[in-house]
Amino acid sequence: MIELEAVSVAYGSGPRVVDALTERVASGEWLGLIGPNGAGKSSVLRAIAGLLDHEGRIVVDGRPTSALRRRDLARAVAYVPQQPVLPSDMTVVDYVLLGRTAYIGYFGVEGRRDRAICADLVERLELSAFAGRRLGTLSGGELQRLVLARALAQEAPILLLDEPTSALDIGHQQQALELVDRLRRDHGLTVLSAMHDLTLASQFADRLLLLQRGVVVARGAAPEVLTESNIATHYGAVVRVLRDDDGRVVVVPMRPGGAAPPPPGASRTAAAPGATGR
Amino acid sequence: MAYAPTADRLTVEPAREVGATRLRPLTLLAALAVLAAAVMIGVSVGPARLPPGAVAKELLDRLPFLTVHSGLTDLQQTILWQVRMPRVVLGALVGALLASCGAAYQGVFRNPLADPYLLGVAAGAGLGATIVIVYGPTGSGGGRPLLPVAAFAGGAMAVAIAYALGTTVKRDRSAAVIVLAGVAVAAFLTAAQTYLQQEHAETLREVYSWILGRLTLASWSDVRLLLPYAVVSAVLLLLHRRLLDVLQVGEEEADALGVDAGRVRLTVVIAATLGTAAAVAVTGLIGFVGIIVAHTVRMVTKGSYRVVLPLSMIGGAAFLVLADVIARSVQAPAELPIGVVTAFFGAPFFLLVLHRSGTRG
Amino acid sequence: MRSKPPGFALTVVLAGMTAAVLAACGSSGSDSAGTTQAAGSEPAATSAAAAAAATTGPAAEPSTSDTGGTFPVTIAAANGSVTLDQQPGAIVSLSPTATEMIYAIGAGPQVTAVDSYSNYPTDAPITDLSALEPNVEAIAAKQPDLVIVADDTSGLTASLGQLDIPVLSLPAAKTFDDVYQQIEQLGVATGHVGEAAELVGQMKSRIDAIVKGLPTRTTPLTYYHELDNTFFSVTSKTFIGQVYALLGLQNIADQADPDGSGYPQLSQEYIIQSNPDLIFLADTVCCAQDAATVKARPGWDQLKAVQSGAVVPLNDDIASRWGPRIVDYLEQVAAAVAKVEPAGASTAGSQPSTSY
Repeated sequence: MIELEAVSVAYGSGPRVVDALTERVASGEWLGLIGPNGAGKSSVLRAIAGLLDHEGRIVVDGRPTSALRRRDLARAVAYVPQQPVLPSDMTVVDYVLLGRTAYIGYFGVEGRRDRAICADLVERLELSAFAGRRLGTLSGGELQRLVLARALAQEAPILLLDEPTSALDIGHQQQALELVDRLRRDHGLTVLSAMHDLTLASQFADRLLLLQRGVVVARGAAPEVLTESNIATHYGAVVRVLRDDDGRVVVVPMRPGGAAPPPPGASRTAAAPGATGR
Repeated sequence: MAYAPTADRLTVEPAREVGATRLRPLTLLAALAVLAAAVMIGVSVGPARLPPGAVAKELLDRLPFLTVHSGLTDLQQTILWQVRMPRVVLGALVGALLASCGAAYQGVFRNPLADPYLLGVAAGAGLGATIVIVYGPTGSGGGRPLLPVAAFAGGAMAVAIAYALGTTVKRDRSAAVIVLAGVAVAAFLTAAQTYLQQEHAETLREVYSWILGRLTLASWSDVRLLLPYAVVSAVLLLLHRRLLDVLQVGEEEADALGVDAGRVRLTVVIAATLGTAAAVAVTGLIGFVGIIVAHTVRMVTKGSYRVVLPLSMIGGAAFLVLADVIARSVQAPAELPIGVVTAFFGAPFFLLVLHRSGTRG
Repeated sequence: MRSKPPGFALTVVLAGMTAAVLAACGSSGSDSAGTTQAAGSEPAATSAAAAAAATTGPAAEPSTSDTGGTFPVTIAAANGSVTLDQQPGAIVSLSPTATEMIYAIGAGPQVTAVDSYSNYPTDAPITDLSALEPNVEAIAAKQPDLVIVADDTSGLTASLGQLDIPVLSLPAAKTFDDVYQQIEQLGVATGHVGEAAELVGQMKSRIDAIVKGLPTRTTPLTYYHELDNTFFSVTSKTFIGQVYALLGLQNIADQADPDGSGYPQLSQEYIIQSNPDLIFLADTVCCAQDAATVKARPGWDQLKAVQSGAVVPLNDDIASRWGPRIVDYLEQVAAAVAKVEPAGASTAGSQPSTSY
């Protein structure tokens, strides 16, 4: 579904923030982009969304993005930025309708189908109670769902999420990601997300891509990528990586000092509060 | 509400629908009624003290198939049709243009306090007018017929320069850069104009009066001159209502949603500048209309440009017509410069905005 | 596809623009508000000094009738008491009206420089000295022994006083008596007392003759005096308004300015409705107005003044000064008045209606 061939991005005449990246994302797959600040995660997403100039080739849904008009690209790729602009006076319905922009003529107005799709999404994302309200009156969690609703209104097979949960509390984080996962399974979406929270990334993404300074330094399933040495090397952070019985990975920041941590892989306890070996 | 996952695609028949924001017919009618009332007042009130009943009869007389004797003398009829009527019509046109252009600029630059003179139209038009007044040919009428042309050209060029400067500095999607360029261009052109004025101090009063803006010289030929530009500008802007809404999420997101934000911005700026430059060319720099009306409409209706734009147009027309009534009645038979009247509304307006932003903050 | 680096060219353009703005700001100097009042040397804002000076006559020593006059003299002028020790021979005039008066009393040869607006008489030594924004150095460079101004707002008396140069302020006249008094003061100051008195006498008798020569009317004629093409006018409170009042004319602008400056901007509607018998254009020079442009204005072709050819173009300068040529002005106006048919022959509303 997404093919990146030697994609490079540079801002002005500065150094490359993405350096000859080559990767394929299969249809229906969820690829998590992780890496320290400045690794180029956002830039990759924006390049795919057609918002950045790049070298190399990007192909979405079988078509190279350079050959696509903006409208066509918007129908193929839905991009949710890290800090979306949320005009406080706009109503929920109007905001979701923005997602239909690529299907409405230049001077046209939305039609029945557009309205129906938006109404359906508003309902499914549990925003019906707020349908006529202004964005300025919604909470963080509600806005999160709203932004997803707009992205889904684009009916695009590819969903690009840039830090979709960094502004949310732990409960909303889980909710939002569960929602994305369910929606992608329902509609066969391909999801590419840039995330800071390594545990969440590992639990939701099918595969991970670890970037540093624009270069892929590790790729594969979560257990392969999320090793203590990888994280120490590329994030410069000291962590413990725990695995539970079901094979799920938990990455825990471990403050240096205190008792010596047990060797990796040796701990067999499920992730319970307090069982972090301090 | 439990979420029930469905495997199939979205259904087309929704359970319940809250519609998109649009201009309700009732609201539109109400606004038009206000405008009609303003026009009636504008036509009935004036230093010549024509009896309103006679004015109404005179208007009825003009309707096809209706003949009514109004009792006005020939001179009074002349005043009504040749002096007052074009003044009201021109006021409505200019008010509509300035307000809608103000709304459009506020939308494109996502700045609720933008006004149509933002990119240097005022300074450019002022310089064009000053050049004609100072260097215009002597002889009967002097260069006065050239005034609108020069003002229009000056205004349009100033915006073109500001826009070009703003978009070539760097490939930044930010509209703020264009605004900055506009400020720089305006400052430069204003300095040039002031210099010319000082060098030819005998023209000071005429230039100053032009800058204040006035409807005192309104005539049907002015209306005819302005009408095509007004229509083109208004139609173009109205057609872009929905796109202005899309722009509200910023140029980058708009691009990602499938709209060429840069092109929309350029088209809207061109349409708005066309209208503003034409209005300014005919009546000088009437201030505050562009900013007050659009901002007030937005504060009241809150939101979509599908509502704000048409209502600003109508509201602007009514506002300027009424302001002109005040300008020619308060000190009748002397006139107040209309810029003074609109400024008089402008000060409390800004205080209101300040107050609201304080309470909201 | 790379973005352009912020160009060197752009930096130069911006620097150039900044420099130009700073230069223009520097040269334009004082605020324009100060200049608007004096533009065209129309009767400026009232100053208490002028009102006070109007009451006294020249406090000079009794003069003989020979043109030499006697010196030293002291004049009670608007800017205080001015003393001249001897007959001035290097006069600088920064007041176009004063220039006209000086030459009319025969003191022309004593004038060394006049300001840029002093265009009458034509043989006056006109320079680019500014009447509106006088530059002390430029004036002093002419080495005057007397400087005449029409107002002293820039503290010229003080600055030139420091250089021992006397300054005589003769502000805009409010009445004819002011005019005569100023002529007499100039006579004393320049040592041409006799000629001054003669000039005043001539003016008075000419004016008398003109006024007496007018046909009597049962109803006074109305007039509209136009200062510019946006319908600024004058009321009878102004000097020029009084000139018209002498001839028994009624000003339509009087109702428009009950408490004001004397210079209201009239509404077109009102002018048309008032249908004045006479229209005087004092904007033939500044705004290129004449009978043809007036007729072309919407609705103005219905006015009796336009239809009977009673639109009188006047010279802007004469209409805004208060010098000896005011009598010529009066003559022109009187001639126009005389041509108007006696009251009763033309009434408003009798013109055939026109199609629209």
